[in-house]
Amino acid sequence: MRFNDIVAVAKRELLVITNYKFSFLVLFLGSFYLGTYLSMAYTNLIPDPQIRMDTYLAFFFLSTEIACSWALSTIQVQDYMRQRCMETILATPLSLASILLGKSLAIFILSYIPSLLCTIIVFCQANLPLGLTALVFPSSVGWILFFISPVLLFGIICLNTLQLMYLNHSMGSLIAVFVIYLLVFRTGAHFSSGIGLTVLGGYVLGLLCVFLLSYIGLKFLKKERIVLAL
Amino acid sequence: MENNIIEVSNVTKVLGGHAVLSDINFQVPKGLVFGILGPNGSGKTTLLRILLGLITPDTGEVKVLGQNPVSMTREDKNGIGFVLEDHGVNERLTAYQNIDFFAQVYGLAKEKRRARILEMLDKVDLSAYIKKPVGTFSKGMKQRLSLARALIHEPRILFLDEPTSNLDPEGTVYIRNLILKLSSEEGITIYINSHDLDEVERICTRIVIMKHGNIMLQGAMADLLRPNNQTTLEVKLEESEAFPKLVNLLNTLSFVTHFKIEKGAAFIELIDDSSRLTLFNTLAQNSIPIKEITQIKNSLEDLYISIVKEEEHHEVQ
Repeated sequence: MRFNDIVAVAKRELLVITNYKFSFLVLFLGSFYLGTYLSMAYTNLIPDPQIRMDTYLAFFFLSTEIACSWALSTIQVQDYMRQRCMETILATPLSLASILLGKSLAIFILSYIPSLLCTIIVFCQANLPLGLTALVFPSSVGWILFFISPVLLFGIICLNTLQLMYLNHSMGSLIAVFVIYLLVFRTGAHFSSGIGLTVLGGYVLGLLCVFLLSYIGLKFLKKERIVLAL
Repeated sequence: MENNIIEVSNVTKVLGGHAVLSDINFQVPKGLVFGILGPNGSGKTTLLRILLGLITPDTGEVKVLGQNPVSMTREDKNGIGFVLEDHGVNERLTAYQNIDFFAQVYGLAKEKRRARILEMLDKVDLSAYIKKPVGTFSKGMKQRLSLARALIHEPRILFLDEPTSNLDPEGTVYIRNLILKLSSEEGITIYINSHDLDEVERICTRIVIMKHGNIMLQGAMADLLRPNNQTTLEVKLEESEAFPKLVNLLNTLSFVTHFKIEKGAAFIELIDDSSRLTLFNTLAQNSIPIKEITQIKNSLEDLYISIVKEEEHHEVQ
């Protein structure tokens, strides 16, 4: 596995996905709507701006990322089925790990950007009513979640892509994403009182699950399996 | 053995409980245009996938460039180019973007990449379409682009799966000439999977005919089209009155295995190729008024049909 291979695959995937202009625009705007309007509508009930931001980071930040990544995966599947390029790519010197990481990296970049933009908007929305005299930042747990969530997102996307390679469609990925989603969110059911270590625990557990599953999936994945499923 | 670029020994493969390949053995020497011929379902594509390291054989051994394709080093894999039946180009991307990806994968340095891509697109007459999405290309153009993609890293062997299938006559001729040029001018060994008998007969120097996962026949094209090493000549005479004299003469010649007079010509089968000169001398010495002599070849189609039919006949029995 070479870094350049991962970059080459990611670059190609970015070009392909953004080439589905209409679908890409619709899902980009949809993610933006989910990440800003919906999250604000729910968190506006929380009076403390720090808890509001923490709540956003714990639940809506990841939700936006996951929803966006899953929608992007459907574009990837659509392209995968139509173009029939996979066999050609598999016959090159690229390793399966490079293909998996490259494809996942492209989706990660595209789904992380709108989520990050939403976070900036939520941050401004929490601070503007206070007159920007003293900026309110997330709590330390909120910051940890902010930095963990992209890693968790990348793991989820890897798992998603793996299932796409195993099963040749994205139904499996929907189930996996939903399971991870439940795992993370169940722990933070009572979020109005602020996020605590239980939410963090849910994230860590989610992280362990996705990376362990991705590792096992990659270990047993063979080019033969993908080719014969095409 | 060192001269062989591909070696396939005792390869079998079972998929879904069905033997797709049974005890396949053949070698491909360097620099040849090698053809695998067979009807749909004969195992050609499975064999190609094994040679490209996409699937592993159940038994037997495969070597491409002296290495097992599955565990091949990156450097050795860079010696292999291929075009699969589905072209392998993404229609959403431009011609340049498609080739650029493969150039990166094969490790071409950034500074050389652009020049090489332009050179390859020029080679397949697609220079004017660099920035056009591949989705707007005809089938022939896509096939040419796939060839440019497969040649971007200067491979030593090129695998082609049905290179002219679904192409118009013009596209077929273009691809055929390009293949011959690659073989003769650049010394690239070419392996072709095809069920187009005419294409194989025109460009391949060595062939394997497969059916139901078995090799039915293999050898050099010239030998296969001349069964039992015999040579058949069609002899036309200036005067038809000379035929009885010719018949009498042919009856006395030991190197003539069989002959017949048909449609104003004599069809003479010789025991081997070297007897041709002896026959010419004998005819001249006996003052036979020769108008024209043509060497008759069996067509690949005749050979192929005879093999496939013979096999079907055995199956019925």
